[in-house]
Amino acid sequence: MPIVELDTDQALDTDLVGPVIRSGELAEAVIDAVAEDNPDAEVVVVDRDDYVRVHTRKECRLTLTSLVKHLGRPYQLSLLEIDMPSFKGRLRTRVDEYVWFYDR
Amino acid sequence: MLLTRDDWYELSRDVDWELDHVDRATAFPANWTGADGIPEKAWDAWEEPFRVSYRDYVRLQREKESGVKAVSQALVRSGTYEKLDPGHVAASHLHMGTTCMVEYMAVTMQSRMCRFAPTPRWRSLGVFGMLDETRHTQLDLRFSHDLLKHDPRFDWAQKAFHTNEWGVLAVKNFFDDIMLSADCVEAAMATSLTVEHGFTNIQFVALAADAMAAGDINWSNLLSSIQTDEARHAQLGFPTLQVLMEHDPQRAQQALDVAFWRSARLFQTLTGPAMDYYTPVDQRKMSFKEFMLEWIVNHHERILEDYGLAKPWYWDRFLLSLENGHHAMHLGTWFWRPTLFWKPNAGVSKAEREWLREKYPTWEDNWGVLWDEVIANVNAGRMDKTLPETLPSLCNLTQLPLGSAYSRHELAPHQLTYNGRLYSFDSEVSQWVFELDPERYAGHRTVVDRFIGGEIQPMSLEGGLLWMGLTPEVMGDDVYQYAWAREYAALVETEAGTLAGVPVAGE
Repeated sequence: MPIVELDTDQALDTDLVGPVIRSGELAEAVIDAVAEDNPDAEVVVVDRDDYVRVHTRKECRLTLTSLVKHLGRPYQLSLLEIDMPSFKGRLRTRVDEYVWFYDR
Repeated sequence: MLLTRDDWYELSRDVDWELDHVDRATAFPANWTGADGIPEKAWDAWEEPFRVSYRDYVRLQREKESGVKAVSQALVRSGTYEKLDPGHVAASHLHMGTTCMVEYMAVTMQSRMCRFAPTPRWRSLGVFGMLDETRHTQLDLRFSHDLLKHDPRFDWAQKAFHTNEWGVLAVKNFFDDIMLSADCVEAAMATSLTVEHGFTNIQFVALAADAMAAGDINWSNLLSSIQTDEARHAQLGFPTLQVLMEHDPQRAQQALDVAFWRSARLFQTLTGPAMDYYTPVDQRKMSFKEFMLEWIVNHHERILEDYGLAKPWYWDRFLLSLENGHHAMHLGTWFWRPTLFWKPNAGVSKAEREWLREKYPTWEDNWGVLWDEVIANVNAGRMDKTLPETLPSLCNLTQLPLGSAYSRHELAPHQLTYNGRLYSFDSEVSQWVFELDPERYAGHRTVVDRFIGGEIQPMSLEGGLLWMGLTPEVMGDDVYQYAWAREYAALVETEAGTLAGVPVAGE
């Protein structure tokens, strides 16, 4: 589950999906949680100082269990919205899991 | 055991009225729902990507509001605003004047969705969208009110849409059409998907990054907080698109292609100059084109492909416009600067030109040569040559200046006659949009139409400025008082020879 940090001017793979999080503690925890929840995928992180893209290819899972573990405190996935000004791909939201994906 | 939201959500979202006293077509007329030709059962497949309950909504919005207010109060007290670069500040004037009342128009659009959308699932989410847009309007007004003591231009957050300023009229024209006059399905395609999922990311996430780099933490925080709402409620466009792709894919493609071009042209006017010219060069995160490639091409267009849509037929022309359109708009708005309610930065000092050349290899040939003329005139004290004497000719679709869509070499006229009247367009794409539905656009009069019609008196530039509501304390001028031209003075003297010793403007 490698985490790859891209230079800001590097072109993104169009098939990447996942959240865009405002920089800070939560973004760091989301990176680690996405890495844990997508063990076979390369996690691409693009840090633009004010916001951070956290993406994997075609499908990106984020579970409540992993996020709580890496955040180190109780949390609810619905709270993600407070610090998520955007995301890439389709989204399915459930209480215990968010999944960003493309069908094609 | 306590139920989670997922346990009851699918039941609650389908709670609906059973109509006894009116038939369904009366309660939900097709000209408001936009569902004409789509079987009623088709909406059973409408599956919202972003689930929200009212309980969640209130809790989250309270958190968001607390965050924005805490940052705002701390920064207003700290005097941060006074330390900002005036070029950057112009971007916030432009934003507040052209965006605040669009947020308010969106309240009406979302209200229509919560009353007339063709499925109760969508109507429920429309309530949250309506509350979101009310919040955005109030945030913009509060932000502007706090800063009004520093600059009367912040008054334009509320005032702009009650004036006839030409840029504001162009913005109103577009959003009147896709928010106030559109049925729910069309509004979902044009506003939820194209503007909110696509283009507002440029203004509210990318520009927020520039604002943060410029030290404007208060505005940056406000922008990105607003976009967290947009990211959620924009999603109601996707299940609507899914239904449309099953039953009328041609309508979906056309609605999105029309909205995409009109949005691209508008954001070239609003966001392009702010990013590539007003933001101080050492504080720019990326160019407007790079942000557009990231957010519009890679981010927005890719998901539309996932739903089976093709790129717009004019894609190559859009990419050409991406190289040029906002540079043309910037040159035009700076030249017509008395018609603005903000002070634009020319943004063509030597360091800034080097940045522009690197980001846009064709910039010098297309736009640098024109700025050379401006620079020579400024340094020769011929300021009258850098200011307009007339109004620009405007497109009968976008209301933006003719000649501002592509490079300066592409000035072929795009015109047609409809019902005995000649209409002009800034591009073949805008003409195509008009031809799809001429009755919809034919009655919209540009500022020049009104000028020729005698509505603007006296018939002079001064009369036009008066009509636009531009008073001396807000009227646009070069934000740095032409200081950027001075470093070219020696060059002008050397090349022109006869200009040696010409006083530099402003000295």
